[in-house]
Amino acid sequence: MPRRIHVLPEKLANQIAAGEVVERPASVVKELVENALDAGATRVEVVIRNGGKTEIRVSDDGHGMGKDDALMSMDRHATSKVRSEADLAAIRTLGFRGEALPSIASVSRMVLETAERDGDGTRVVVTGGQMAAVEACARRTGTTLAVRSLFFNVPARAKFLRTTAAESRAVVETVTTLALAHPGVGFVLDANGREALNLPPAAGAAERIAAVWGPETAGELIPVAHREAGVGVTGLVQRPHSSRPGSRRVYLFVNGRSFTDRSVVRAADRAYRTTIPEGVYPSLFLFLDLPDGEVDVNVHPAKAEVRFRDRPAVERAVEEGIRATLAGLESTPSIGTRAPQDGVPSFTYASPRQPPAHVREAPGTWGAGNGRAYAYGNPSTPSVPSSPGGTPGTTLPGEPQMTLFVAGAPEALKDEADAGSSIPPIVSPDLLGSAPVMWQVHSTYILVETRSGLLLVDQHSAHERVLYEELMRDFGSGSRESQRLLFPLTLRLSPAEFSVVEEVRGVLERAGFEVEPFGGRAVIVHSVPNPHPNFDAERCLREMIAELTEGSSLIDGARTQHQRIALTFACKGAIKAGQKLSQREMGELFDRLFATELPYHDIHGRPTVVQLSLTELHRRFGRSA
Amino acid sequence: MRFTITRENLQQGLGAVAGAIPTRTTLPVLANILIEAEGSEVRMSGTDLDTSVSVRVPAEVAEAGAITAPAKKLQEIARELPGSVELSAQGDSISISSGRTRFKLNGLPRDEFPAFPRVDFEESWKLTGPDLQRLISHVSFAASTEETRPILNGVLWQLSSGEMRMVATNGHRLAKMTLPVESSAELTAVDLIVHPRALGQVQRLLGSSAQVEVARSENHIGFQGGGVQVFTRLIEGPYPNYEQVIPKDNDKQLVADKGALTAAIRRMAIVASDQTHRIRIALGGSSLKFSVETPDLGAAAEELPVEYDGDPLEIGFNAQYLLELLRYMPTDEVRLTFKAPERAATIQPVGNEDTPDYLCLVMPLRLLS
Repeated sequence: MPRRIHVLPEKLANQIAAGEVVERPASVVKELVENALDAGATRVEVVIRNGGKTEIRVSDDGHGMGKDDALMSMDRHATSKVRSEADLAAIRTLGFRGEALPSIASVSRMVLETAERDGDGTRVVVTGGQMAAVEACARRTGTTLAVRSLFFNVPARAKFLRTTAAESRAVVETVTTLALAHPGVGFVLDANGREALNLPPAAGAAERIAAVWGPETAGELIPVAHREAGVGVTGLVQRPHSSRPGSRRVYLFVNGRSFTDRSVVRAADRAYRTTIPEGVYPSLFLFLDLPDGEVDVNVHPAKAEVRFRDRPAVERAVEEGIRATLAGLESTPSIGTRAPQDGVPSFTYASPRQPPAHVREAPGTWGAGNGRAYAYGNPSTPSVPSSPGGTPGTTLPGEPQMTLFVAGAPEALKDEADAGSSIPPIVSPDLLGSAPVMWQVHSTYILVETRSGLLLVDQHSAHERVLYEELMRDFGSGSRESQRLLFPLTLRLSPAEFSVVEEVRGVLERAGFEVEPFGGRAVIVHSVPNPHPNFDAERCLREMIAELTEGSSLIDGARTQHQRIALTFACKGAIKAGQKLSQREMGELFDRLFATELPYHDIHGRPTVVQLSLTELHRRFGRSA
Repeated sequence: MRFTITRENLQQGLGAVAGAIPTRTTLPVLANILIEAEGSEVRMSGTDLDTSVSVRVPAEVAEAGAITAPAKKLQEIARELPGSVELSAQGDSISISSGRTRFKLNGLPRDEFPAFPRVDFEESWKLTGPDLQRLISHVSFAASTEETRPILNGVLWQLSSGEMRMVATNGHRLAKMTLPVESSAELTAVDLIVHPRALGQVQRLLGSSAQVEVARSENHIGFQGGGVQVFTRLIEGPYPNYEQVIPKDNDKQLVADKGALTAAIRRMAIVASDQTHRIRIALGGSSLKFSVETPDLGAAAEELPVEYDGDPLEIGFNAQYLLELLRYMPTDEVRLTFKAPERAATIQPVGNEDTPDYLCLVMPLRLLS
């Protein structure tokens, strides 16, 4: 009886392996570019024709190969990157299986040109896995691999290739991802005769992102730099208020290798909770740095997924890192140029001194140049404020006061100026001077002088953040102070509202509202919290009950009943716009705001603070300070 | 119009009215003072449209007439003048001369000045200035300053044939005082709700008058005495039923020294939360134990020996409310009464003839968990 089981011929084995590694032109590009990067290239050029179906050519200026290596590289499991088992646990190169080249060669017509030194080149031609020619050629140091007629001998696979446009898009995405992970390497991608990407070597991820998507996109990002339990998290994430639905970009890298992982993304989203509205997801460019052995990249042939030894630690590091970034002043919008941030730690992937995105704006526009709907008064014409009152006598220019002494500023003023300039700019909560002067405008916004310029605070948004975090903290600690009322409130409710109140009564009580059924559908409220002197408990509770009954974008995103109550309480109970505040009240609001975890973001995904830097003021007034 | 007036009389009149002039107004004439000369006196009036004050001072009137003048400037001028003053008006222009000094001010015609409310003093209650002053100074502080329940922004003033009572509350604490009055006429009992700002003017201008007449119209109340008149708009009721919330069965009572109590609470308040000002009071044995604990800040405790033999009780309060009520207590010793941690506590003066029926109450702060 003939034996049923036999060893596959090598060519067939390679074709089967190709099925896993080489799926479409983009996967060929990925393997070849990774090889180029592993060869120490500083510039990688990719050319595709017909979406890569006709030809893919990847050239690099890496170290190249000699003739023997060039021949050897076509063998399966031949690699320069791993020598022993120990190496496998400490993989720092992108490729390592030794499968890619023979796999690709088995399903295409491949030409390899490589040279270790200028001039001494080797050309290897492989067709459908068969070595067709080996000859000497002249070439600069580096390697060029041309892959033509992909899947010419595997018609079943060729049928599954998509349109030229779709395959080109996939290649662009692949090169972009690799380019993000290697900002120091120049990339050029020519797709069907058109230059799809031209990325000069960059100093960091931010510069690379700006080169790919433009400076506006890069300007919306803030740097993350965090290390916790051996897990380093760096990179850039989007400012909450810049995030919009459906425009998310997520790029994750671990030890320089791109990967996909839903739960890492979820951890990042957890960090953003309450700073952005439901259904809006921020862009993420995260670079994880883990010790060898903490991450296994040898899970998936295309290495799209990785396995973490301690996944919770990784997720925690990501969440904490982003949380820390969102707690900083950098995460707020600013009017024009930001203040230079000397306090920002430098990190590997992102340049700390990214070019400010708004620098090229026309003077006279107040930060609204990127087309977003923030109304900073009248954006296009900073007009002279018209004088109030308007009686003719008051608008006449006064006679100039003659001065007794003309030259020299008073000594006291000079001293003050010197003292001011010698203080280094500090990020919050110490960003205010010792006794900041606060100015309330239109009973809605608070202006405060800071060491690096000016902050504008939305009093309602700021108080929302304060109330939300304070109530969540009180839920955690289990108790909350509540003022008993001399005249209890009676609320008559609709049937739906009444059943909602019945359901959440316990949580409401822990929030400070002592509510009791009062016959029929009425409830009586015996005690209420007292978050500020102008708190209207009845209106707040009514609006809370209505929101809890009808639902809203704010509370529908909450995960627990406690969060729902805290969000709606913060929203309805916070100081309203239009409420006059005393200096003391403004000071207290500030102190409490900066005692929260995320002082720069309210609970709806709006900023609480907008900054106007001294740098920007100097620029607008034409001072070269 | 032309009259001569001593500097003192001018200053006195302007000073009395100035309190009624709004500091900021959209109606320019409200920044002015109305001056009317007739007979042997000059009447000066000011208003912010809610409360109006007018005062009569003696003067030698040469020519009767009226004009309005900018209040602030006129007051500043009066303060700097060397001696008696001659004031005259020609059209909208006011001339002020004193000694060798001459001023000219631009005024506005009297027609632009709002008319004062008409209140008929024929039917009036008559009381003494000091009584009125005592009521106002002990009660009106307790009115609410929030705009959420406008009715609580006012002070309830109940007048009946034998007594009068003032009550004010912000829904968290309440002050109530009753005084006997000798009613002159057979007047029906009435509940008036008056803004504390107006009562402040009354207290300032009429607090020492031997007799103050009080009368009302449909929407206004008027006070007059010693050449001064104060009118104010009444707040529309009804006022909440305060009597129902005054505890009658507070069985835990003690008497304490006001100064010692105040000092202890002030010390506790230092580490109380800025937001709720919550401190705890524990009764039991023969002491009053105060304590405070604020997360992220710290804690404090103090013990005050008192005579107390009732059941133990622990109760929380807003320290600011307690301090405020104690400040208005007219006696050195005060009586505190309690019932339960969620029920109102009361504070009353001990051994005072002037304020026999004065009671403050404060609702506790509860710790809900």
